[in-house]
Amino acid sequence: MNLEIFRYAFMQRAFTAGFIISIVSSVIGVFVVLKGLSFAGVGISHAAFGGVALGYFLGINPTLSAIVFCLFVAAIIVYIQRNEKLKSDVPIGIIFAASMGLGAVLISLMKGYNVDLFGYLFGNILSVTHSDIVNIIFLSLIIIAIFLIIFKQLYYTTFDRQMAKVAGVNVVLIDTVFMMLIALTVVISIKVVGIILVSALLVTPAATIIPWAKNFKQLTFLTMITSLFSVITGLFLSYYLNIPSGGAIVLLTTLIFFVSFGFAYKK
Amino acid sequence: MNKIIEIVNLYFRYKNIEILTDINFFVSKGEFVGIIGPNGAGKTTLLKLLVGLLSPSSGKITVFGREPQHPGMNKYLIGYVPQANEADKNFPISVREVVALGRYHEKGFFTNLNAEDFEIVETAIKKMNIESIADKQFNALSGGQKQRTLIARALAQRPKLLVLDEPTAGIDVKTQASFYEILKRLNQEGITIIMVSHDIGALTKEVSRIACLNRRLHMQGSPAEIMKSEQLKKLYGYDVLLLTHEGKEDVNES
Repeated sequence: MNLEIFRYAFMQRAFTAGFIISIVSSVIGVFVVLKGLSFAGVGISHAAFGGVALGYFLGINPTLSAIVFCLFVAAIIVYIQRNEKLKSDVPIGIIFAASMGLGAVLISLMKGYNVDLFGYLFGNILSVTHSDIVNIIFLSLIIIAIFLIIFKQLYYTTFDRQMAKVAGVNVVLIDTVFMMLIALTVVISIKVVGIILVSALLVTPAATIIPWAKNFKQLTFLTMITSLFSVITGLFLSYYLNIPSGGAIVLLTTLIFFVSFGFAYKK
Repeated sequence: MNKIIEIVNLYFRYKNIEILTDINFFVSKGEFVGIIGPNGAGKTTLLKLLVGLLSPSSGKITVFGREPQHPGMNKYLIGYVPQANEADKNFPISVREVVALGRYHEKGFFTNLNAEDFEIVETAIKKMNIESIADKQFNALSGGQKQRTLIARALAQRPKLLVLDEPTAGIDVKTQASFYEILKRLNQEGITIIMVSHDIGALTKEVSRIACLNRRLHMQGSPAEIMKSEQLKKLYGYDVLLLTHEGKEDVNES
């Protein structure tokens, strides 16, 4: 295979970002699927659209505004979910649409401003800058560090929330922190996978592996492999076929999911 | 301080419906107490109040001298096994790993399980006779095996009080007998046990005291006293003796 692709700095950056994103989104994604938070992943990722638009509108770094906005949205979702009068998917449904609405309004107000909307929504490998890589590495280290700190409590809460609570785990704190980790994972994945598609990276690879995994380590490891394969291959396809990277990655990971699903239920 | 659980004038309301009314109830160290009552009597609610998952509307509960919602270090002392485990069916976890969860609460955010913890886990596994299935997937187990695993998890916490909600539901009669044997042994080792059950028959044979709950605490006493009482008939609305193991022989078949 002709590997001229690696000679381009932008492709090196895209692959670096893709590699890190695969690892981080797999670690977080396993819990997203086990905790049944797929829709929360979708909601928070779409909220990033409002966050990015807000950054452009206020003239501040859109990554920074997306981080703050997504963390805020994650906290609000958990807060409303604690009000047991509503089912837990309701606040996500509300906030998700509201953030997209905010993004649409803000972008329409910035007449003449050329925002690469398509790239933000569906991923654009050309858009990954050097400072994006620095941000991705820095945020990934934060995500992994916090994840390792809360791992035991998160694991217990995911297996059995009620018993974890009785055993003294602060389940609300763990839920909130985990939702924030989802938010940060979404933000680091936006440039490569795109706002609309990032939730697939959180959900599909883990869902592909769950029927096969014998234990938790295996589940996490194989999810990473699946995710890495999809992301790296997706980036190649994106480069050679000139298609959005996010679309290529998501279609690949979905294809793998259906193959796995077919075999898993034939067993 | 021999009383482990003290409940005084307890009321619990949910959405303006009174679930528990004026409960006064004490459990002393070393007892094996069974709580019986019809469906919707508030048995599970009472247990949830005991372990701090719910707060009383009025009245007072103390377990080991503290309110269960603010247990402080007491949380180590209570091993709780809820009626149905909520775990995701797909959660890939072995029996041994489930039992090890019982050690997690003593660990803060920065420490991991050590050799002593693993020893405690193995002891709990042995006590519940689940060595042979220790490496199996939790979700592949039968109902009885799951219950024993969850009790082993509670034991790994090294509790002084076990709170069990319908632990024998869905378990066949033969397995139930060995299950009660294990519980009795734990009780003899000094663990106070409080359990809720529909199965009045088996329960009356095993426990030291029975409390009959139906929104109110109707009566409590030794199994013999309870079975003689007319109250029980009122509580259930039919002759409960027919359901006991001292009643007709064919009851187990039904």
